[in-house]
Amino acid sequence: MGHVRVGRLPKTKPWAGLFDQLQGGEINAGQVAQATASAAQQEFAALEGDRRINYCFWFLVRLATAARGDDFIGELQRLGLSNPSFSSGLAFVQQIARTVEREQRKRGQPTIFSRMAELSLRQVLSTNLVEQSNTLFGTSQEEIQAACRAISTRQQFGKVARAFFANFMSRSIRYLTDKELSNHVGPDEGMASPEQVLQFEQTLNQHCHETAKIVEDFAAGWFSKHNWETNNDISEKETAGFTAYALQKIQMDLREGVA
Amino acid sequence: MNDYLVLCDGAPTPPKAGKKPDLSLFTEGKERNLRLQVDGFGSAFWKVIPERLGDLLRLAAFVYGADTRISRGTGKDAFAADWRRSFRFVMPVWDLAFWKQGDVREPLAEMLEFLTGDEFAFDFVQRSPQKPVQQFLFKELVGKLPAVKVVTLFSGGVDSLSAVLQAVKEGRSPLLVSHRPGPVIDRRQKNLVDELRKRFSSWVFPHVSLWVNRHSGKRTVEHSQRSRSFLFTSLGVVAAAMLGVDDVWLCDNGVVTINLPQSSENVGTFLSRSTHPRYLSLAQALMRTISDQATLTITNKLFDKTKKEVMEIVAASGHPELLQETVSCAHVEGKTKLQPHCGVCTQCIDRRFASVAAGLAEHDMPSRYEKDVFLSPLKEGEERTHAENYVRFATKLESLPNADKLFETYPELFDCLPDDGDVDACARILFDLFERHQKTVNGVLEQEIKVHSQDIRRAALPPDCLLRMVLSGQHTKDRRVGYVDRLRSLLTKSIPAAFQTQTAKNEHHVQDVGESVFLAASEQLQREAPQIPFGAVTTKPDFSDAPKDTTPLFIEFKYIKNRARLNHIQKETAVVTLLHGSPRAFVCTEKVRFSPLLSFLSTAYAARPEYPLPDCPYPNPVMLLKSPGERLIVCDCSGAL
Repeated sequence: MGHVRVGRLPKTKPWAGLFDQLQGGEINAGQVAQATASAAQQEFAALEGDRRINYCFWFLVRLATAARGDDFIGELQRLGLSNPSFSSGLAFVQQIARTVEREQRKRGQPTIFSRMAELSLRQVLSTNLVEQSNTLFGTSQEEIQAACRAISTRQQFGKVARAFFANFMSRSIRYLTDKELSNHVGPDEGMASPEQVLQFEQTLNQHCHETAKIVEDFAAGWFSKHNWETNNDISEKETAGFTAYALQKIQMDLREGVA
Repeated sequence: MNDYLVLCDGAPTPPKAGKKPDLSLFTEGKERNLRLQVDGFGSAFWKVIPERLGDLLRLAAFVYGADTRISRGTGKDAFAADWRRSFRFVMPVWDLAFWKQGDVREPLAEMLEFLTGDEFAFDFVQRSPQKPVQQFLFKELVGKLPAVKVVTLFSGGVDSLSAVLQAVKEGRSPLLVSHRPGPVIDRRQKNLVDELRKRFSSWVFPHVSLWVNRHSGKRTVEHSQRSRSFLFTSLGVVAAAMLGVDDVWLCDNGVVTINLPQSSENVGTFLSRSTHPRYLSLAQALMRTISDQATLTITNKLFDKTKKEVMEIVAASGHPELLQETVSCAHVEGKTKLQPHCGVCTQCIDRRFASVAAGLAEHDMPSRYEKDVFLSPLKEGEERTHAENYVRFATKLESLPNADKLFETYPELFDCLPDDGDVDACARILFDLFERHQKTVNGVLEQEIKVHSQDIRRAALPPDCLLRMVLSGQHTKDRRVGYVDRLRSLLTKSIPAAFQTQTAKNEHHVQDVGESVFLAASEQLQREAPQIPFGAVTTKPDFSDAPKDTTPLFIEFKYIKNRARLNHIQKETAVVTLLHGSPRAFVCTEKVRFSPLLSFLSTAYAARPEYPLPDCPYPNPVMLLKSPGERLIVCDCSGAL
């Protein structure tokens, strides 16, 4: 393996709740998420105004709206994909990844959280575009556009938005908890084996997904309304309010253990 | 943001800098604090490096010098506030007109940013011709040295040794180029070159190395050394340009090259990118411009190889004993000749697993590691984290069935795909690579468990060693439980999707869909678990018919529709289980929530008395039946409909 930087959580008062959760006999994903979100409340709150995170969500919005119009390629070019290739779903997501990375540079300094937002966007697009655009006869613009159009309905957009924010929050929480989890794996520990850590990870993902339920309903309505009002032209600025609210709401629900 | 102004070789502070320099680096003069020196081939002929290439070497050395002298914060900085640094270098160069070009400075900054995660800005100023300056000299064995065809970067580890042997095998007559950060590594590299010369008479193994390290002044405070690869690359390119060679090999095995996060705490450049394909692509474009060699290529020949396969290349050379002369450990200080490896850093762990898997443990003896990663107690912190993450990563990879899933799970992989070229072919190569890697790691774990089965039985292993860590939980986990989990996962993912737009008409409808899910997955299931025969039949479960040496698994779909009390369904199932079969059975329940409605999944699990089951693996079992029966899954889809 190459060089890997690993960190520890400070054994300070704000993190005591999380350490308590990890010390227990059975580690509960919901309670761990709650303790982590509480300890990192200040840092997580700062994400609400992060332009780079908002840009990732805005890109998702614009990709959905682009697929609804007649000029899909033109819309993609306006998003920064200068010469989009439709040879496969993977190739398409790769170009988006490169574009988002380039465009994000114009929106302030990168942080670990902005990187996580980038990865969440990629993951959501992989889930929704890659398999869906593959056919027996290869992939063309039609399939890619159809896959993008499929996420542009009110209901589907709500699901995709939920997946994006849930994925982002899950990554953010796991980024912190993983600094300590390995120390609690083994006989007589909270996690019996590395495999159980993976199960815990899945449960935590699921917990964040459940917590982000409110985003699904809200995003569906917001997308539908704003898309109609702006005639398929939702701006990055208009998205910022939604992003801030979505993050705020999920974080609050995580802290309060609502799922 | 952490802004740092770095002045190089006495360059003046820019008038609008607004701050004092944070660091001044000197490669010459009385204030010299950065050693930069090229040692050559031991020959009769000296050749001066052209000015622009000399500028490149100095630039790489200054970047490395600043990288190692300015801290990125400690591991306790949970949010990595100090990890990213913003550097502004003021640096004198000979070829000012060239370095001032936007299409040189911008790609340079972009490449370094990808490699290190830091931000870079360069103010180039004219290097004074009056000032004395060290000339870089390459000695050439003109007439004696056959034409070098490839420049191979040589660190003294297994991967670079393997690349050298590969080049020799292909008749590429490699020139070995090294960076020497200190005397210990220098001795190791020289020793390995000597061993190569002794064993292979077909090539003289010319070796050139560059000293770049602290000469005096501020000590090294930052050991992550993300920029070292740029220094390495620069030396390789300069050597190639001097010899008129187009091929530079910068080699590491594919798994290290990609360096996927083994844990969620590894984000961005927390993982090194020394030979990452994107870095090599950016470096190649830039170096072509700097060296004026349009056909220069910087390649990683081991990109599609695992560490085990890299070791097998060494073994195939006929001299596997050379492995003993290589060192992979990330920690140099405090290591002895007899034990050059710590055994618990990521490099040591990977090396140890690879040598066991390749059957080369006799040439990579456990006694040369301070700690045996399998058996030694692992300290809380880095030791435990690296070992547990390594195993967890392989376990996670095992569950990913194809390239699409791999990319979905590790979206970092999109950074590895080429801008031009066959993206899907590259994705398949990467999937194959990681599949082989997980098989290697998981295979080694199984092998080590067998080897140490007696110690395991006697509970003689330390509780905090890796094998115990892996085993705890495993000894209580029946393989069949994993199989049930796999089937459960199939159903919970597929059935809600099947009824998204159409509600189920009746129970038969649900059963048909369930059957189709299994039929579609049958080939894959048999591949994943060949020891468990799989077939989809529609039948009344009659456990009494099952042959005695088998444990058949029956799956029944119940469509509850509007029945609110799910307990009734469980009772029905329990009755069926009671009616047939043998005296031990578990019936467990687990809630699985599908969006947007609640769904419910119940798993019944039973076994024969002669093959007793361990404790129930599921949380919150609702009933434990001392009953006859075989395994039975009841999947209720009503919530999702």
